[in-house]
Amino acid sequence: MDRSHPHLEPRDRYFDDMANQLSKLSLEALTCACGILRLSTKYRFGTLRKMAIKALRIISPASFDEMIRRVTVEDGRRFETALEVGSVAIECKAPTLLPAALFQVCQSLPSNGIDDRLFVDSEKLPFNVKAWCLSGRTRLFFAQEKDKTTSLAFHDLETNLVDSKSIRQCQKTSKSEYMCYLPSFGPPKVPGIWALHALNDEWKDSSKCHRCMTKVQELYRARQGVIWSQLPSYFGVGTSWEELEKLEDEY
Amino acid sequence: MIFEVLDGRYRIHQSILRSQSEVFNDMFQIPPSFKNGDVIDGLPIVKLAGDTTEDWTALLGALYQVSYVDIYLGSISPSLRAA
Repeated sequence: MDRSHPHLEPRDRYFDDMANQLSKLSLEALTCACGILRLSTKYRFGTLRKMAIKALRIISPASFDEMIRRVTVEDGRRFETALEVGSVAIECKAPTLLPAALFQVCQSLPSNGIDDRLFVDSEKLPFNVKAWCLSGRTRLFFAQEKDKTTSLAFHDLETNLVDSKSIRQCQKTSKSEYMCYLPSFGPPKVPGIWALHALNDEWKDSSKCHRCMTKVQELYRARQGVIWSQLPSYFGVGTSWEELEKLEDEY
Repeated sequence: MIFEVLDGRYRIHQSILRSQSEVFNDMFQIPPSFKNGDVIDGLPIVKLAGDTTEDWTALLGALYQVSYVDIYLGSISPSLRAA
C-alpha cells in the first residue's frame, strides 16, 4: 500500500484488472464491483462510483455491440449475475445498468410460461424487478414478432431490387442480391432479439453466397439495434438511454 | 482514523477520504467528540453501521491503489485490513 501519496486519484489499473476478471465471469470481481458501487454511492465517492459502474457494464452493457459480445460468452450463471447487477443498480441508482440486466434475466427465462426462479428462488428480489421483467418481456415479445414480420418481408426487398437498374448480382445464383434466400430457399430464419448471438452460428450456410448473407445480417443487425435503442422504454425504466445516463449523472 | 465495520477495523488517512468523498469531507468538518473507549493509539474509532468488510476492502483497495490482482488473486486483504 502506498502511503506516501495520499492524494493520488484511484488508478485505472485497479478497475482495468477488475474489468478483465469480470469478462472472465469472476464472481469475486462482481462482488467487488457491486461493493464499491454500494459504498461509493452511500458515501459519495464520485470517481469510484463512475469507475464501478463502468466496470459493471462488462456484465450489463448499454451499448448494443458490447451486448452482442457479452452474449457470445458462455455463462451458466447469467440469470443470477444479471439479477445481482439489476438489484445493485436499483439500490445504487445506476439506471444505465438496468435494461441490459433485465434483458439478460428475460433472456434466461423459458420461451413460454413464467419462470419460478423469478418468484421462488429469488424471494429477496425487489418487486419492481419482477414487474419490469414480466412487462418488458411481453413488450419485447411483441416487438420481436413485429420485427420478424418485417424481416420476413424480403420479397418486397427483392421486388424493389429487381426494379432497380443498378442491382448487383448474387454470386451463387446470378440473380439479384438476396436471391440466395429467395424464393426457393424461403425467407431467412430470423432468430429474434433474444438470440443476439444466433447470427454467428445459425446463419453460416455454405449454400448462400457471402454477399447475400452479409447483407441480410446487416439488415437484421440494424433492426435489432433499433429494438435495443428502445430497451429502456420496453422495460419501463426510462424513455431512452440518454435519459438514464442523465439521471445517473445527476445523482 | 480507524473505521470499525462489523468485526473488521481499517486505519485510513482522513485526507484521502476527504478528497474523494463528499460525505466524509462534510463529516470531518465537524469536531468529533469521542469517549475514552473510542480511541486506539490516539486515533478515533468511527463505527460504520450497515456496511460489510468485503465492501470496504474492495473500496479501500481501489482508493489506496492496491493492485486488484494482489487483493483478489493473491491474499493481501488481511494486511490491508490491518493497515
